[in-house]
Amino acid sequence: MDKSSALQRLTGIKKVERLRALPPGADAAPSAPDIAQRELGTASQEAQADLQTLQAAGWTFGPPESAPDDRAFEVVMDTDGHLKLAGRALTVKINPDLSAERVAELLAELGFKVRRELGFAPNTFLIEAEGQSGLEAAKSLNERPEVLYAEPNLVEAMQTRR
Amino acid sequence: MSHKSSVRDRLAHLEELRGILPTRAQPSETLSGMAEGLRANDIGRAASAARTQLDSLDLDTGRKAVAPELYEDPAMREQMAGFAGAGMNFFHSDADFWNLPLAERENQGGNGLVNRVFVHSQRLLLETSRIALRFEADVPEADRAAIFARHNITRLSSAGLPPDTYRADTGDARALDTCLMLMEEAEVTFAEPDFIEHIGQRLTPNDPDLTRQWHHANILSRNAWDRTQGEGIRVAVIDNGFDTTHPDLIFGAGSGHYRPTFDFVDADFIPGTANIPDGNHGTACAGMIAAIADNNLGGCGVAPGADLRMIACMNDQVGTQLTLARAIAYAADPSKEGVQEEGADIIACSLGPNGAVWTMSAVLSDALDFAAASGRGDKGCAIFWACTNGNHPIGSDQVCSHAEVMAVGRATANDTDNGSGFGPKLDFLAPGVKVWIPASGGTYHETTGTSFAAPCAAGIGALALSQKPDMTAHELRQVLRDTCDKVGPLPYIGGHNIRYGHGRANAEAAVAEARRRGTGL
Repeated sequence: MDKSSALQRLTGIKKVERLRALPPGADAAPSAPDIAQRELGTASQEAQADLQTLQAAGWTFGPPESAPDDRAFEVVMDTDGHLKLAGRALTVKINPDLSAERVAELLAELGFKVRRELGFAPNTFLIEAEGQSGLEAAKSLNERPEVLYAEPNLVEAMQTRR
Repeated sequence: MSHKSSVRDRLAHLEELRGILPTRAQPSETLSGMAEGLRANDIGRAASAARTQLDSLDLDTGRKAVAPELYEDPAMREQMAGFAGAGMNFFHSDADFWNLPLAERENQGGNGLVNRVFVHSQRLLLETSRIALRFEADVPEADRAAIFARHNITRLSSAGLPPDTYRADTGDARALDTCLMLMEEAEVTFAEPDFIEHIGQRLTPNDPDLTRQWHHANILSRNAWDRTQGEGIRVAVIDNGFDTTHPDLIFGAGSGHYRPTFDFVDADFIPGTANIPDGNHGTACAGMIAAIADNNLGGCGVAPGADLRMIACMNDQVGTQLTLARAIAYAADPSKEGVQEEGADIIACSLGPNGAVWTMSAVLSDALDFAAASGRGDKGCAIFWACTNGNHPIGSDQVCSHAEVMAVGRATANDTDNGSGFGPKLDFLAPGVKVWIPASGGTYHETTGTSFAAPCAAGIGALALSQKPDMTAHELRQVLRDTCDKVGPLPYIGGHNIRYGHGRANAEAAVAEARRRGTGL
């Protein structure tokens, strides 16, 4: 998959501005399911089903002011009509001609923390953005020529096909 | 194709092993040793015993060379062991001896029953003078007698045969040639040589629920099991969770699960079966592939001899495509998660939304490319994925549309499609409606979904791959496509129909074709 495909997708992802999600076990204000229903009332059936699956897995939803910044995930509508969650994590693939040292320098300069190198593709990393969401960080990273693609590591409901 | 045409076509394509003949059937310790050597895959011992036995025979032929090509070939070895156990060895004779009439060949120490040796679909067929033929029901007796006379064949007893069917002897004529001429007669329904062949012991599992597993009858698993149960093939099942205590499943080395980190930024891979989350869906998928056979419990999988490794990566049906990507890469090459195990040959996954559209991340695409290119020592992992259960075009699902993924739809017991995903990207159908397969809690249940069609096809893939393990993933995919049954009322264009893909997968045919490609027989 090339950079243009990743960029096209990023452009199509829409934030649900008045909603944030917190992962299972996070200390937060009491869940406000009514708010989630209200904000997503006109969303697709798929998105409604995604919301139910996420809630069943322990994710809670509320207004931005109720969610601590360091743990909150943005709520987004992906281009496939599914509801997904964007935290600080993103995946980046960097030109394989760059040395490991140069890649490490580059990511550090840009303020990213490397969480994991993915061995199945060259110079591909799971990184963590500081002070911004993975969605915004991916957009800015894709502007750099060394980056082959950058995409937010979206949490999604992945049902079984039965 | 009519039955008569089918028989004629098969007979016309038998491969004659010119110059090769069997010895007389005379059991001996030497040939028992040859049989033991063959069953132990000790070719050197078998060849030595064959040589010794031939040297001891008083055959009036200028040449009596061993025929190791028949038992160096794994496809033929079991049959050759069976013949050796029955006292029959095979040798290369000279042309004069091979061309002798049966009676004269017997006078010179040879086998007086077998005229020629043929191979078809990896089966060794010994032509004698005996044939079986059937007349059309309305053919008068006088016409039947005239046909017997015209072709110079002798009518034998019909005891125990269906109506209008006879045994007959072709005398000095070659039975196959006579049969082909007989089938030129309009009154003859079919005529076939009564070949001598080795019929091995058929696997008849004692699993009590086997009769409820209709899918085995449709895909002809049991016929395939005569050849293989998928031994030596590693199949990775990627799912939410599995019942690690299910008595009909064996969790192979390499099983494990992904656990999200506390901040949900990353996930840790935990090798082994401890704390793998339970999951009815994964249990069913794994059981469809390789539930244990012949253990007097439940049913059995399509490839019960295959090695399963279960990889749980989406606990609670929530996660990231990056974790799914890592699971796929891990299945292909466990070293990517620091585990020293062999990678899987086949990957089966039945996760994904049932709506029309699924967007794939770039990193998941990279992982699929990696598994398909680098798995199995660069021969590629074969990747089977359940397509959407909804009546949607698969082209809208970027994962099932990935070039390296085989998208599988679900078929009913009547071999019809069942409204799952469709379009040019559909590879084939496999049983997935009201199938009886394992469930969590050590039980079995009836369930429906493309989720179970994909592992069914993966099981067929394992059976086929076991017959030619050096096939690339692309070659395996082609074998499966080429051997599908063209089910359904709609026409296939270029071998494909948007509702049925290349058809409903067929285990027996896939195994036979893989074996043919592997052995040339």
